[in-house]
Formats: sequence, structure tokens, C-alpha cells
Amino acid sequence: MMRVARGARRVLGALAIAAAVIALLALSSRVVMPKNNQTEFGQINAAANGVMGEPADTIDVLFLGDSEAFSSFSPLQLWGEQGITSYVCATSAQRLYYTTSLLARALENQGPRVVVLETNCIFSPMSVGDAAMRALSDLFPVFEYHNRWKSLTVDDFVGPVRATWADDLKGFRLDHATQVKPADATTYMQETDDVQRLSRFNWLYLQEIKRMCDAAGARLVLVSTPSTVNWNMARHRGMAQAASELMVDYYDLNVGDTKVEIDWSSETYDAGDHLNLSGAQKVTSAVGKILRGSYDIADHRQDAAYDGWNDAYARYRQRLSQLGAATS
Amino acid sequence: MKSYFSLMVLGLFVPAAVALYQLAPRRARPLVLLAASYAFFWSISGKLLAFLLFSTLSVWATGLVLEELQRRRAAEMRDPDVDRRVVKRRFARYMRAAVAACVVANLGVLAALKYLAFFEAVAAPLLAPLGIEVPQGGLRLGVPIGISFYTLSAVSYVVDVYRKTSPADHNPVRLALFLAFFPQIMEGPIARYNETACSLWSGRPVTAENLFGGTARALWGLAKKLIVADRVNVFVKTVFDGSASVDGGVVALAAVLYTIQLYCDFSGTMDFAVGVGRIFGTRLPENFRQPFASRTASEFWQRWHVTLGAWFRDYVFYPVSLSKPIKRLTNGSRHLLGNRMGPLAASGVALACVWFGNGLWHGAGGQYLLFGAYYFVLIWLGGLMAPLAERLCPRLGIDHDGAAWHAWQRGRTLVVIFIGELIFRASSAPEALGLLGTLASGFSLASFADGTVFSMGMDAADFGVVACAVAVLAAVGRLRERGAHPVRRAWELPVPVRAAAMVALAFVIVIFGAYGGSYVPVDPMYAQF
Amino acid sequence: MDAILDILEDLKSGEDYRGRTDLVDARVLDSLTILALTSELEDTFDISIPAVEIVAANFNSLEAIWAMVQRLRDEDF
Repeated sequence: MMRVARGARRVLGALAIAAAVIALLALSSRVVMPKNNQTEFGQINAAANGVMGEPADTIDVLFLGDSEAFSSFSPLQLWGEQGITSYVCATSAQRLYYTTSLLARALENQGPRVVVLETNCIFSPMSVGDAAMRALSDLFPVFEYHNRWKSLTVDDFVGPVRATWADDLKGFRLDHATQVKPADATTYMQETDDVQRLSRFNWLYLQEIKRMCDAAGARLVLVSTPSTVNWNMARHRGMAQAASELMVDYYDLNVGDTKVEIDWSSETYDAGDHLNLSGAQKVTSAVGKILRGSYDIADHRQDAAYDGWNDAYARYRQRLSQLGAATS
Repeated sequence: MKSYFSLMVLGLFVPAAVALYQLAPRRARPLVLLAASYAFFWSISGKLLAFLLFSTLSVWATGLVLEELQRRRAAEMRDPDVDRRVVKRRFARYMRAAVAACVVANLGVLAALKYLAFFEAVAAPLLAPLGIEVPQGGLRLGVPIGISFYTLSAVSYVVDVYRKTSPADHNPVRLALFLAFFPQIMEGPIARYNETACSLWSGRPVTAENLFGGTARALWGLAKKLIVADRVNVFVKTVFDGSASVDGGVVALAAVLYTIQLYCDFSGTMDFAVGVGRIFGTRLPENFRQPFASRTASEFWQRWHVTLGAWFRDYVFYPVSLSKPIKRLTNGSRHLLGNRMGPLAASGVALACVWFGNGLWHGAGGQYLLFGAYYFVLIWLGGLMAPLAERLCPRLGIDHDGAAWHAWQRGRTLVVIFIGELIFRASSAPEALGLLGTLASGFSLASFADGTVFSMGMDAADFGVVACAVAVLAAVGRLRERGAHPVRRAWELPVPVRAAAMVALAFVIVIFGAYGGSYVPVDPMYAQF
Repeated sequence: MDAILDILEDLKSGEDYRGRTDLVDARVLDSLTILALTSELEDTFDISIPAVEIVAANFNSLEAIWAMVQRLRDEDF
């Protein structure tokens, strides 16, 4: 009888400790969460998280991926050419575990028709520890934002968590828009029999992304943006195989019918790793045509509810002309 | 990433190992530990496990050979017709040869894997004028994790068998666990066979007390590492690895902060090792004993990295000092310099061996040899000057046993420590000397006045956190020095209080830990040695 | 055994060596002192102290040192 009592007390004690830990983590997460999704409020990766500030159910296409995505897809150009509303939720060296986090966040308020995943991040190796840390941070944001203890204000303790801000370029980046550093394209997309396979861990996450899209009624589409440094035939083959297994459409802009002709001497700013603005404009046009042609996405240019986009587009064109770039 | 303080190790590996250990029958428990240890080793160094196995088997075999030789000697000595001195000398020769072969083989493997590239680089310019070309690049095999630590443990076992301090172990698996135990493999503590081998093998069950106490100890170490060491690391890296030139004041601050970082990182990892060891029912030796309370450089090395100092004392210092040629030197200098100075002067040779070894052990680099030379000079001179100081103090009116004098000694030892660690952190001997030069000639407090110190990786808030942590550690250290046992007393508090304290500590680590965001995870620093 | 006490007091005065069993553990005798002590013992008692004998057990008390000295004297006749 005594043993049972002692055992029961131990279990209760353990539960009490667990409850205390969870309560502390939840409370502290509430406190350190940025009170708005802007960099000034401490938001990490504000541009990508700006999708939460877009009015509900207004984004028709979501772009996910790493730096290839935010330097190649321009949502406002897509608006100007096709009237498609989109947002780029991309971050440097994004790993698939963060892609799922961003996708989940975006899907809270948005119901996109198409989710475009740039394929470079699908091959990026992930450690289980980092993936676990990401999952933990999604559960208890204190693990991601604990460093904000240095800049806490009264509002952090009492104010609500809001997301009212969106990036003016809708997640696109113009940091290196007009820089040029030519690439050596001699071995670009050379024929080979090699097939680069996805690791099992990455494949699991890719399947999860597909599942999330299906549940939200969105079509998952894989796109490989042109890059001499990051892409090759082996990867093309591996991705094509993965796409057919996953039963999703795959457009490789590096090769074949969907190839986008890039002038590697003038349209990349870091010798073939990323495209500059000229390259991005070509890619965005091509993607826009694909989206318009193959997927049922509305053209909202005449819709008064989307006037904000026209304003943003005007600002965009002004910015481009300030850069001295072509705005056609 | 090789670190004990990763989510996978703390959250998955250790709990799984503890669970499997506890669930296994008693006889199987040490095997669980060995399997876990080898799995851990494999996950970091892969096939280099072969070298750990080589060390294990070589010392096991040599131990058996020595035991057999000792048995035969005893048998021959019983024969009344035989000249015992001749028999003794013959067997002494055999046994010395066996030990020497084993030690040379093990140290040779260590030298080849870890130091060959360095020796080649040093030898090349020396032999070039003779027309001899020295190949570069070492063996290109990589260095097995913990080789510097387990090799010393292995050598200590074999020498202990030779000295009959421990019996030879017939059980290679027990020896294997002694050498490979995973909390010790990366950074020690360097245990002796008599200290841990049987305890690890006993398969004691995990008790609630040990689980609680061990976890608390490991948590304390995690706090030191994440809150202090990894935070300070950003500043230290900026100064030592950055390209910007800094003034003497910043160099001084960097030396102090690096010492704090090294202490928190290394002792934090030791806390983890001892804590996990405790969970498994084994008490691992301590590696730190309030090192910053030292009054002399010599004392510092009895309080910092204690097991390494003890190893060099028992396996280098005494054997060298008591070897025939050095004994002759000692006797000679006793005639010349008297009974006090004579042995001290002669022990200089043994000390030089120790410090050359200590420096070299830390790494293949000139700055480590400089570090060794630095402490050799300080400790040897300190030993020679001690009797002089004892005689001078009363004449100068200084109370040798008084608090003021002790405070002065502690203060100057701190400066000695900081300068030593500055040399240690440099990436080469010339860089170390350059930094020392900047410290001496370019000392200025300008960077403090205009606030640049707050923009080198740590802002004012960070300094505040470090200062608070150091204050807490200093307070605990002072209590320990006075003989109090603050932790043991705290452990007598009721369970809910203890649990609450641990939860609070874990929470403090979550908030103030230097991880995520712009912080780069730092591998335990001593694992590179 | 008084001879040993004399040697110790000559090497390091001001300590009470009688009746203590922790001379090494309490760091009253550090490694340099032990070395000097060894040298003196070898001279005074005409013995040879090998490195294997330098263990805490042999030096922790006056009795232990004396026992070691006697043992080494008998072994070498």
C-alpha cells in the first residue's frame, strides 16, 4: 500500500513538474513573441513572415524556398503582367523544416491556389537536431525569441500579438538588382547519367508539404530557377523522379521546353549562384505564363478590392526606375 | 557538430541510454554502456574506432604479459639457490621492455595521427638545406575523438600494472568500458583504472537520488556553457580571429573573457560528465577545484584540469626525477647548492619534460609550446624563489600568512593566468607574442570610454549577464574554499524545492542561453585537444 | 623515525608532522618537497627509492614513510 502511495506521489510529482515547465514555456513565449511581425518589433525573417500581414484570402500563389526564390520571383511583376496576387516566403539557406513552418503560418490566413516550391532547398542537408529545434520553436516560440529579453517593453507583457505588416516587395529582394558578376556556363547542365537522390529525411518533409497543400486545397508545384552553381543534370533527374513519385508538376527552368534563356554574362550578380534583376524579370515572366496557362488563377487587375496591389505596383515601378532598370 | 550539449544528445541519446541501462539485467548493464559509448564514438569518428580498439587491446595484452612476468619472477625467487638480485634485474628488464613497447606504440599512434603534420612542417625548413625533402600533410586520416584523453588513461593503466598499483585486468570488455565511457571520451576527466573501472562494471541501478543529483549537475554545466561560455565566445572570436586591429585594453579584456569562457566551457562539460557518470552510479574524478583561488602558478595546476596535472606528475615528473641520470644530477647539485636548492635545481629537468609534454599535449602548435615554456619558467622560478621569499617577508614586515599577502598572491596569479590563456588562444606563437606586445605597449582604455567594446559581439546587457554569472560562480567557489558544501546543503532541502530550483535553472538557460539567432553553436573547446 | 621528522622539518618548517595521516592528501607535501625528501631519505638510509614508491599511501604519514624506508632497506640487504 505504501509502495503504491509512494509511486503515485512520484508520478504526480513528475506531472506537476511537467505542467510547471509547460506553463513557464508558454507564458514566456507569449512575452517574448514580437508584438507585430516587423523587424522593429524583433521579428525574425520579417519579409518572409510578412505574408501574415496580408488581408485574408487574398494571396493566390505562395512562393517558398531559399535565396534562389527571393532573388528570382517578383510578385509585383507578376501582378503587373498577369494580375496574379502572390507572396514570396523565402529565407536564406532555407531548410525544409522551416519551409513547413512558414507554409503553416501562411495557410492560417490564406487559401492559395498554387504553392510553388523552389527546388534548391529540397536538396539542402538537414540535421535531425536542427529540425527538432525548429519543431520545438514552433511549439514554444521562446526558443526562437528568447534573445528578446534584452529589448522587452511593457507592451510585450500586456499587449497582444498582431501581424499587420507586409513587405512592400511582397518578399522579393532588390539588394543586388543591378550588380553584375558573370558566370562560367561551360559545364552548365552537362549531360550525365547520375541521379542525385533526396535523402530520406528530406523526402519525408517534402511529402509533408504535399500533404499540407492537399489539405488546404492548393496545388503544389516544383520549380527550379536557373543557376549554374546550384543546378545540374543529376539534380534535374533526381527532382523529376521525386516529382513524379509525389505526383506534382515540375518545371525546370534550366533545361528543356521550360528553359529560360539567361545571359550568364550579365544576368547574375554572383557568378551564377543567383540572378540579378534582369534575370529575375525573365524568370518571373516565364513563371507567370506557366501559372496563367496551366492553373486556374484569377486575374484581379480589374477588381477594386485589390487596389492596394495597384498602389504597391506603382511604387515598385518607381523603385525600379530609380535603380535605372528597365520597367517594361 | 560534436558536442554533448546538443538536442540529440541531451534529449534523446542520454535518456535512451539511461532507460536501456536501467531496464537491462545487472550483468548486461555495463555492456549497454559500452555499446552506447561505441555508438557515440562511431557517430563522431566512424571507422577511427579502430584506434580506440587498438589501444584497448594493446594495454589489455600488455597487462596480462606483465602479470605473467610477475608470477614467473615470484616463482623463480622462491628457489633458494638463485641470486635474487640477478633474477630481479632480469625480470625488471623484461617488464620494462613490455611496458615501453606498449607505451611507445600508443603514444606513437597519438603522435602519428595528431602531430605528424606539425612535425613535418617544423622539420621541412630545418632539413631543406641538407637536401632532404620532408613530405607534408601527415597521415590524412583524421584524429579520433578523445585520443589525447583515452591514450593517457590507457598508458596510466599499463604503468599502474607495472608498478603493481592495480592488478592486471583479465577482462578486455571491462577495460574497454573504462577507456570508452562516453561522458569522458571527449574531454576527460582522465581517470585511473582504480578510480572508475570496477565501478563502471558493477552495473549499479539508477537510483532516484543519483538521477536527480546527476541531472542537476549536468544542468549546472549546461548553464555555464550556454549562458556564459557561448556568449563570451562571440567577443573572443572577434578579437582573436577577426582582422581588425585592437588596442591593448581590448586585448586585456579579451584575455580575461577568454579565461572565463574556457573555464565555463570546460568545467561545464566536466559537470555534464560527472553528472551523467553519477546517473550511472559511478563517481568520476573532479577536474576543477576553485582554480582562481590559487596563490601560485604551481597551485593553479593542481586546481585546473586536475587529472591532467596529476597524470603528468605521476607518469612524467616522478619517473623522470627519480631516474638514474637525474638522481645523479640531483646529488651533484646538492653538493653544490645545498640540500634545498640542489633537488629543486635538478627537478628543473623533470619540470621541463612535464611542461613540454603539457604544452604539446594541448596541440600541435608553437603557441602551445610557448604556453608550456611560460608555465615552466614561472613554476620553476617560483619554486627556487620560495625559500628566499620566506626569509625576506619578515624582514620587509610582510605577514606571510596574512590575508593581505594572500590577496596579493591571488591577484598576481590571476594576471599570470590571464596572460597564459592569451598565449593559449592565439593561433600561433608569433601571434601570441604580437598580442602580448600590443598588451604591453598599446594599452589604453579608449575602447572602453567610447563604447567600442560593446559592439564587438557583446552589448552592455550581455556583459551584465556575464558579470552576474561570474558573481554567482565566485560566491559558490568562495563557499567551497572555506570548506562549506553549498550543494550538499541545498540537497537536503525537500524534493519540491529542489525540483523547483532545477526547473528555474532550466528556464534561466532557455531565456539567457546564447543560442539561436546570430549565435553559432560552439563545440566543447577541450575536445579539439 | 625521528630522523625522518628532522628531515621534514628541515625541508619545510612550521608544520606539525606527527600524528597526521594526510600529508599528501592535504597537500602539505607537494611534489617538489617529496622529491627533496626522497633525495634526503636515500642519502640518510642508503636506499634507492624508485618511482613506483611515490604514491600517497607511502607518504601520507610519518609511520608510512618509515615503513617504506624499512621495507626498501630489507629488500636490498
